[in-house]
Amino acid sequence: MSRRLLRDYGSLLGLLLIGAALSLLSDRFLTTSNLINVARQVSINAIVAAGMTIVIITGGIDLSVGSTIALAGCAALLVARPVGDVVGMTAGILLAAGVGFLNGALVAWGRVPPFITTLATMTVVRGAALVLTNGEPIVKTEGAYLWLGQASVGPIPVPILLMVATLIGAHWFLSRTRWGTYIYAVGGNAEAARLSGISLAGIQILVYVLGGALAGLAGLVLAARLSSAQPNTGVGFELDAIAAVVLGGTSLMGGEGTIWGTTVGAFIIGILNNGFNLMNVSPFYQLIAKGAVIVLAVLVDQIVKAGAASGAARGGPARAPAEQAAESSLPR
Amino acid sequence: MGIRGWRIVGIAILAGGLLALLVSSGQAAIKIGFSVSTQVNPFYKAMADGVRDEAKAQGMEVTILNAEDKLEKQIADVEDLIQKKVDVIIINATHDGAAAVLNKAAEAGIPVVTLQRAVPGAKVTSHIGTDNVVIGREGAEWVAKALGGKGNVVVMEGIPGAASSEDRKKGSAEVWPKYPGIKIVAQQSGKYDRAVALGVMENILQAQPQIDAVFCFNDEMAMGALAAVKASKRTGIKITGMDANKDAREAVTRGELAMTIALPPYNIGKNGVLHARWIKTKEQPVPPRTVMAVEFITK
Repeated sequence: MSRRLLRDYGSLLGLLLIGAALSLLSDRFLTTSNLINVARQVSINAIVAAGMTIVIITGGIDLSVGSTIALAGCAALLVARPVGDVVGMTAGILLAAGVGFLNGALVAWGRVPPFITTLATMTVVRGAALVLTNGEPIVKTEGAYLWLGQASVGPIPVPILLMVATLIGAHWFLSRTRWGTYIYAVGGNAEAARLSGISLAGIQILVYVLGGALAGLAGLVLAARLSSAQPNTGVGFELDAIAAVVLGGTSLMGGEGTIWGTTVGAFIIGILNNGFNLMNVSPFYQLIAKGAVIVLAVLVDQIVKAGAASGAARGGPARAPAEQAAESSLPR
Repeated sequence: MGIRGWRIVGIAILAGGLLALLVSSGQAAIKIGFSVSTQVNPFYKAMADGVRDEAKAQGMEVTILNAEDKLEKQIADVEDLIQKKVDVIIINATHDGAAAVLNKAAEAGIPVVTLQRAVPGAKVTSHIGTDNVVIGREGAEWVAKALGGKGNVVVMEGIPGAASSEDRKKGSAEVWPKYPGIKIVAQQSGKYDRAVALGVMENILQAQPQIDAVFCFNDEMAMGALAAVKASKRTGIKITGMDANKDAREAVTRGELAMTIALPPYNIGKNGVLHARWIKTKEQPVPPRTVMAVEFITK
């Protein structure tokens, strides 16, 4: 049991260690207002990373989410100006889901590898955002949409509530629905999943649509936080999302991974950025420290997992979630 | 020569013919090529607009190629312009590494005009731009004076290692020691990005109970810092930007930003075309280095 705990919660241990170190280094770190501040900052990456987790579990990757964040925000505000905020926000998310559909269709039907597909759509979507806005920020300082980024329910800012809802929803979807089971099965062994009657194309399109829609939601939250949308924002956000997923113990090979782990991963990145700013670390050293901590965290996670796996092998058969998923999805 | 060799020759002739067809559609005019570092940033968009508009006004033929911030692409772009035998190459370089390909252009007898970013080691006929060290220095002086020589200042740098950011840092660092009452309480990078600067400023607000000014190396970050300060409900913080983008200017008018510095990217682009013309027509001597003045925009 303790080994299983270590395997599942190794990244949480990393988060707590980094948190403890930051609390010692800065007396401003462990305050309520700063922790709420960190959670609010993490929310955008966590929402994107939830979608990224689902995509990566199928063995895919989505490099286009950073551009989709920009496109969704810009499109939403452009539509919201004449027609109203609700229509605008809906349009933004639908457009982002449409980008996801394009990704999924290219991967599933076009057989283009996900890395190449989304590398291409990353630049296409960025270009679309620039064309749409003529390269200028879209400013909208009033309207109901600001609620997404600037309001609070009680003491809790809305972006945090949206993050929590997204994470719980994604966790439920992956662990409690038939679709979730299929997603693990496709990532574990696509051929076996196909033979067992799962629609490979259907699942692939579904995950990219979800990934795109969540990137769209993140784009709306970001726009609401800034009272404006920038066509050039979100550059490199895909890397933060992928880092959060990997830090959370999800394998880039597909077939395994948890939303819980990704949540922890997103918070590790969030408190690192926060800590660097609180302590006024030179931007040059930040780059080194951030990379080093990410590698270190993944190394520790690997060692812990290896230990847990060999222990499990001695103690009895260990079953990877992918195997379980593949089995349970067989026609009965 | 084998079949393969002839096939390559055939393809080359075909490609050449196609290119010639494309090029011949506007003969006689001076042909200029402009390689611009990126079109994502409004600053460089305005520069390209300046080049395009002035070339049109002068009846010149212009090819604008976007390097998408990648040196490799820029080198390939310039090589294409050399092959195309343009009369003058205007370049807004992504990197010092463009020097070699610019010298190739010079060897091919094509004069080079650099815009905004000088390329050390390259044979350049004319350079036009603002000087980021000077901008950093003058901006910091403005902030120090606006605070009456006393107060806590946050410096928001651009992309770590980017020449514009490092030069502005260098210029501003010359100023702060002259004002013992000014304390730099935080100096962090907002990566020239509004969303990044928002998060960085929120974190700094958590750490610093007293902030009197935020000195940002571009407007995008100033707008991000402004959003963070507004959300924190803290007042009396003077936020300054650089570049004078449209919404930053409006924020200055509303009194939300204290100041922004207007660089003239559009006029830099226009001047580049003008110099290209003078190089060809020799109607005026072309100065080897032109430093464009900046303007402080305040309410």
